[in-house]
Amino acid sequence: MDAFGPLNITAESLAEEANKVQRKLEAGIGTLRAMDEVDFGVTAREEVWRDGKTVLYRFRGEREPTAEVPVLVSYALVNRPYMVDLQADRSLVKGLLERGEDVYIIDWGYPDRSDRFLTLEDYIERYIGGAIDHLRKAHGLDAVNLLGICQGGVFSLCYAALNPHKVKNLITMVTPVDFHTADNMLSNWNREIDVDLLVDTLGNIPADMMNLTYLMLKPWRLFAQKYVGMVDILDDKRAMEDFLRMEKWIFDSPDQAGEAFREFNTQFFQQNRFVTGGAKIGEREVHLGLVEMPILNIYAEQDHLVPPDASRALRDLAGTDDYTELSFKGGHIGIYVSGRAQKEVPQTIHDWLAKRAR
Amino acid sequence: MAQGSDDFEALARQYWGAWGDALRGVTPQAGSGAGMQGFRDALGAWTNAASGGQGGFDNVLGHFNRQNGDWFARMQQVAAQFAGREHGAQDVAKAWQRALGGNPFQGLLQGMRGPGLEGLEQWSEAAAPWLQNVRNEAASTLGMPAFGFAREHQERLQGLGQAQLRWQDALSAYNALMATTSQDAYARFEAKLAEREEPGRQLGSVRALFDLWVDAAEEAYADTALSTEYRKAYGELVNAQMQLRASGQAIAEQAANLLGMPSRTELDSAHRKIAELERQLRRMQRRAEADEAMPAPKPASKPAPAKQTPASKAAKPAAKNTSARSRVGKPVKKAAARKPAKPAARKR
Repeated sequence: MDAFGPLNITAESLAEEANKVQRKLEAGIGTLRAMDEVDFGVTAREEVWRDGKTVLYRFRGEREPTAEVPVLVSYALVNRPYMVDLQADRSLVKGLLERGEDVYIIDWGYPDRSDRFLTLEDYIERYIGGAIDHLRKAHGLDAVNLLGICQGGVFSLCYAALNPHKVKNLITMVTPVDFHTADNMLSNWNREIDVDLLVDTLGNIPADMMNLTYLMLKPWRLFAQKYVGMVDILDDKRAMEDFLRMEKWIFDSPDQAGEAFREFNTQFFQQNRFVTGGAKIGEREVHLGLVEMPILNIYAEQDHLVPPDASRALRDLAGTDDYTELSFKGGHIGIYVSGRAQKEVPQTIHDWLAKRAR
Repeated sequence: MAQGSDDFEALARQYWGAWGDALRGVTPQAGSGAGMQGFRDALGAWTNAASGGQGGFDNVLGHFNRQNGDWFARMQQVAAQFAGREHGAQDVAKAWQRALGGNPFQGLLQGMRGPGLEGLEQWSEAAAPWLQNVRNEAASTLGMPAFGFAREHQERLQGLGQAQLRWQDALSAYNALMATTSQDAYARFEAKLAEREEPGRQLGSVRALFDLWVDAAEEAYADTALSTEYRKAYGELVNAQMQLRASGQAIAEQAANLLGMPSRTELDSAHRKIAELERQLRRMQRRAEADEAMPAPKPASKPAPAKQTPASKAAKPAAKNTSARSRVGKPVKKAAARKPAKPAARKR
């Protein structure tokens, strides 16, 4: 038929679309009822060290690691360890193990109110430091490889600056360094918040509040379009399982220890201390100029949480002579779970580490 | 279980049947059963039927029901008005605006509720009559000095009233900003629709129409959310909410004390002492371990500086030649002459 305006919709096409939705919904009842408990975190692992609620795990692949220097993964406090090991075909851990890397991860656990006074010093020097010291001792090495993700990348940079002799190679993924780039929405929102009042009132920062903030970065896409679109896959059990795993990935978040949140937001989101100087972890000052070990900095081109420029700032601030970037075509979450990520990220990390194994 | 499924099927048949009838008459009529409530009823029955599986679905289905329930029906109703009829971008945009109202952002954000987020809103709703009275009659008295034996209690209550007024003002300002953003979103939506008027670029489905709206709304929102105006409005909203919570908590603590119950402040105080003791102990351990591990100085080693280097290389005069940096696989050594002085103790 002839078109009359921006909508080329007829009564028949409207009815057909409505019928299609109904069929999807009907099929969805069967799909969802037939689904088993969705599993996540697929790779075998064993606990090797513990301090309080923080646990260090060693992943076990199907083959023995060939790399002599282990990689320790440190992710953001708002996430869980399975973020890098969601399912068999979406696992950075699996990809690294298959290539012979020896992979460890810190599980930060779920802080409760008794953990409210944990500081950045506790997370960086006590937990990351404790895990690294354990690995150095267990492997008979002076230094190990450190892979920091997002906020865990900030922690890793701080640790590496304070303890450069203990980090052989540093990999940062979607890690903010310059928090005041013009396109950093989270940072813009943080600037006028009275962080002291927030933490003094709430104690620990509830995970739901954190997740709500992340949803508000793209409210229509993340809170409306996503669930409207879910209708399309209601008749696909496998796709629904993947969808539910991602829901778990996104919303299974620990509360944030209040004091660490206070320090992080004040020093980085508000004061941008990596760039302006004067970041302090405990009693010690952090200077990125002291991060002299080789750095592989991986950022995502469509990252709505950590804009690429926020990550790329590392190249000018770090003290290393050996700096490499990987620009990943994807977003903040896609960099772990997309098909492209499975092909590009573990291979890049492995190749980069292999060249610096000696 | 089967009952839930039957309910859905019956309601869905009723809903879609009404839609079929309405479409034959070109547009759905008010009260025809093809409106949003009919779809909500069907979707509610669907959610009940579908959640008969594993419990982990509840949150997902809750989100799905809350968000999809309205949007799909609204999309349908707007699109149906123009099915097979001559129309322009402005007509669709206006119809969309009528369906969503003046401030759809406010409605969307109010839908973002979940466990742990209801508390303040529920409390505010419960206290609304008293608070309205405060606003109407007693706002000026909230700042008046208190006297006598119960003055501290009175001050806490005054503080709560003041905090509530601040919260209401902050919320109004935030919603006003969102209303402006909504108008911007509608304007962008109309512009995007106009781009689709030429043959070959037209929208062929309700979903495509909704997706176009989402693009427009997100663009408008991003511009607002990155602005200084939003920074201030959002900051005030959060700060006012925290002041209100803190005021309420202070009164609750007083009440708990009267009953001999330990307060949050007392527990925090104990936790703070434990954390600080642990921290001091670990600092001492680290220093002791570092002292033990410290090798005897070698003649060839550089002397350690008295102080650490400046905060970052950004502050140093010799900036790196960034063009010498490379993408994956091509690391480039920086010129040695450009390197800043480093403390000798850093390398082992």
